[in-house]
Amino acid sequence: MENHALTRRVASLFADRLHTDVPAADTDLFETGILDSLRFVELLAALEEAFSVRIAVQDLEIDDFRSVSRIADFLTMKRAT
Amino acid sequence: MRQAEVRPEGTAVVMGGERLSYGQLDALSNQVAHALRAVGCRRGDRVGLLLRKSPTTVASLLGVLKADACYVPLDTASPSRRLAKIVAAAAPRVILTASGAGSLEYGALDRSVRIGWMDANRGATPLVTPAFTLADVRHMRTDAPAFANGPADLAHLLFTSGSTGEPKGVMITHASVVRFVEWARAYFGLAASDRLSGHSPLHFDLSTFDLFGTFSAGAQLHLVPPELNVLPHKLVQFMRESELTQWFSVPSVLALMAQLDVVRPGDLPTVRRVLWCGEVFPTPALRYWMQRLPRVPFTNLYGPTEATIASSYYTLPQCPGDDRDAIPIGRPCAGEALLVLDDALRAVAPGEVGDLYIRGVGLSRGYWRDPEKTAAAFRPNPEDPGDRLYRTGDLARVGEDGLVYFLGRADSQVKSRGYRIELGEIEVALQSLPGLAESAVIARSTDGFEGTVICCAYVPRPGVEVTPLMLRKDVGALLPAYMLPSEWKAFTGRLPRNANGKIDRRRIRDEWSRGDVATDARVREPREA
Repeated sequence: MENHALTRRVASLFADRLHTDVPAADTDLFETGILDSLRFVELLAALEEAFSVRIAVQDLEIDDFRSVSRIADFLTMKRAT
Repeated sequence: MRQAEVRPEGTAVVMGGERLSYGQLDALSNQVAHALRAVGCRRGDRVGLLLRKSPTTVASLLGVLKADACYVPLDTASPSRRLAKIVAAAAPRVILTASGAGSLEYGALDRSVRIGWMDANRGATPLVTPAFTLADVRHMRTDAPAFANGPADLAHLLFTSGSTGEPKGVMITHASVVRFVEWARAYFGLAASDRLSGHSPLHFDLSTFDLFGTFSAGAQLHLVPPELNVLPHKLVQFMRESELTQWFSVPSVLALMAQLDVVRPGDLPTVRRVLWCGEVFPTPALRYWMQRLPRVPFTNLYGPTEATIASSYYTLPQCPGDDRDAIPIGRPCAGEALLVLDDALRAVAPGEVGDLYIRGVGLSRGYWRDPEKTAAAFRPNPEDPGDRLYRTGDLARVGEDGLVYFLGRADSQVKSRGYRIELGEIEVALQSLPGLAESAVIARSTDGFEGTVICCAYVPRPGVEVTPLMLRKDVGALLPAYMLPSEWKAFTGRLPRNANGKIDRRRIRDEWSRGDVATDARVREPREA
């Protein structure tokens, strides 16, 4: 349930900060071109700010950012540690 | 394919867990050719490739050529309406596609278009019944089909952004590709021991050099998974683990890797050359790379799609001494000429700015089924009536060193992350939205890795609520993601006008660049890694 709320928050972050309506929580953000190198950097900054987490680029795995729901999972994990 | 006889077991193309040897690549591409022939594909027909980059896709592309057809690569990330325009213009006999590859509306296709479904099993079945599947392809004969195409036949049609909103199909012949590849193979010394990157997507013409450069040398092609582009440390890890000898990409990728400092001193010992093409490589990022890989030659390739892959080259003799040094686009490749001319097509004096024209073996025949645009861009050579000159739209000068220097655009075409974008195509798409009274698209250059940032100034219709989110969504149904403006600003009343009453894009751009325009969306500086 909590993760559901988090997914919604990530989706609204895409809307507010990247001006992008992601069609579904499992939409592949790379395949659809929604995330490219420039916007990925913007997304990381927005996530750090909105969720008070510190994200080190060299620790990132592509699959953690493949969809909105994967990002929510990643944030959940990040906050637990 | 000669390499299949010389080294049938040798690796031809790899991506992740999928690998094809030269023998397998030859056999599979022969089978694709037989399958295409079996559904009525004939010499001169077009075949659309709506497929994600993979070894099987590479075999499909070769199969199209072996069937005497012309391939039309389609961007799987393109929205369905733009894909539909390109498909309608290209009028393909067959489209090769698979599940998860793009969003073409099959129901809206001309009924004569046959679908080849290149999934190993049917996977998510398309809405129409495919004429054949990959399983059928694998039952076809593996011997080479009889080949009739010659140097003057079309190898591919590449669709690029058009300023009037309609993508233009650039016609490229086998001869043009072969001439470039022959020059490049000799100049770069490509050999069977090489391991080349396949970084560029198939709808960029740089990919033709990756493919045919590799295969002509009997080397290995290592396709780079596109999503690695967002994580530079993964990209450099890929280069290390694949033990690449050649890296060929666009400057935005190299610049992002430099900005995040992912290359260690003495890193990438297997790399023997680094090439880039498609846009200006910022000198600070180039210096970073040359300092990190001090023994590696770095080559700038330059050339529009209309002149096939690249028309000129410049290999740096040493690392530039200053961040402000201009890197020339250099001298012409074999069989080509770069001319800096005035409006009357006369050579300008050395050092003077003029329009850059290209002539020679790389020139496209023109735009597919568009004699008007062809005549506007391809002019008769006044000094040789049988010859043609291609107007690049770039401004250039010839330096005292005899090298050509790129000085920007004469029109509103921009390069962003390697993509060639006509701002006019974005404006046409915006003008079709009912909520806007006015809009203008400008490009703002930045010094950072993001290069050119596309910005949209707009005035909503009275009484209509419009947000950047809504605009981006609506225009995203018409344009691919890389063409969408990343900064938006609503104006009230009307957009600034110049003395002639036209929208003053220069003023909007200058104000935007100076930071006088408060944008609704900030492009933020990347964090330290």
